[in-house]
Amino acid sequence: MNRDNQNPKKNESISNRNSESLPFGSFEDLPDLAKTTHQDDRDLVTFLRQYRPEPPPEPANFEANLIRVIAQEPTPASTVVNNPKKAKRWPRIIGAIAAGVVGAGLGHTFGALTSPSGMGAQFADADSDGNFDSNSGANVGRETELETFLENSWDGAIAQTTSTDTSDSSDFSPFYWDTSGM
Amino acid sequence: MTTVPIQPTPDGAMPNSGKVTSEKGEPHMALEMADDLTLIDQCLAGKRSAFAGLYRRYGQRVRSTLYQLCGETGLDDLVQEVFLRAWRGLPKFRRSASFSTWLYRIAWNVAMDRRKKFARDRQREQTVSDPLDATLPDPSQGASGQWSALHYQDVIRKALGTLSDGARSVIVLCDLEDIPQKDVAQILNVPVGTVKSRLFSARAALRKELERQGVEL
Repeated sequence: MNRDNQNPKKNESISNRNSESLPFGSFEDLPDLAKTTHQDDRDLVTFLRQYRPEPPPEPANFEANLIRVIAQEPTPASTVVNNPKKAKRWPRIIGAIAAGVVGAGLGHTFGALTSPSGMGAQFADADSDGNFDSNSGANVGRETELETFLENSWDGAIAQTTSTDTSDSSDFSPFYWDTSGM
Repeated sequence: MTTVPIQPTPDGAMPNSGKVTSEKGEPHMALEMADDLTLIDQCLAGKRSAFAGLYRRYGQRVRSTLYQLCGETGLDDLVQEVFLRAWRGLPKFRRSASFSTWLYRIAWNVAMDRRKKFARDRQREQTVSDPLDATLPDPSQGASGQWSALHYQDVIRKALGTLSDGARSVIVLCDLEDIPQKDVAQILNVPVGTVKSRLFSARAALRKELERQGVEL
């Protein structure tokens, strides 16, 4: 045990020395600034707690009724969501996909309307009565160019197939067997 | 009448206010001695008697808080609503906060819902007075002789009725229910500084109203 604690005279002298050195007597007499500053609040709180309005007593069977009502409720554990973050994730993912699909559809539609080769251009070629003139403007040139390209491609493809018919069949036909070496 | 505040235990639990009985009606010392988290675990396991233990522990304080916030009208329904919401919400209870703080938050939400409903009804009918005022006697009737404790209670109730919901909430939670300000901040979902500033202005308004009613502090 601490020897100083066993010596009351020494402790007393320490206390007296501290008291003499402090302008307010002792440590217990330290001015509590918070208390002095909020004296009004303390009085108010004391008054409020002293005359605090008390609620009427609960009915005698209140707890039993409460437990009876709760007994009709499902057990909380049956409604436990193991991971709330996961549970919230699926609606967000589905919503994001739906928003993406809608956005893509809107973007495609908007692009088709505003594209020079799209419906916007076709509507731009419509006359004042709203009739589309397929022979007007740039469409005529584009159609002609397309027809030419298709005809050339088709003719080229047919000619190539005719000239290489035999050799191609030996390479690719599953019913062709080369029996020359047998 | 002096109210001795109930101090929470280090784990956030409140001292028991009564005996807890098991589902068979027998005293259940295990439940009585169990802390909040143990009782909550038992509730989640489907043991409803554990919830009775929680009610016995906090029911009176929740009832008092609701009474200070909403008055006597429909008080039993409000208390039941709080504990029903608590039962349903137990799986969502995050154990970072104490159960009492969480329960007070539910009580405050229920009280504010009721206050809003009162406000809507008042706007509709234009004649409904404050639910607390409805129970008040005329102060002049009690002032003929000595100011009784009952009269001071009525004065406080009437003064509380003049405060806004926010001011009334901090007065009730901090000063009447003696809940620490940091817990009140969690209950009201505001910073502690906001609680302090609201409390300062609320006390000033309440003091002014009490002085207007002849109370010298």
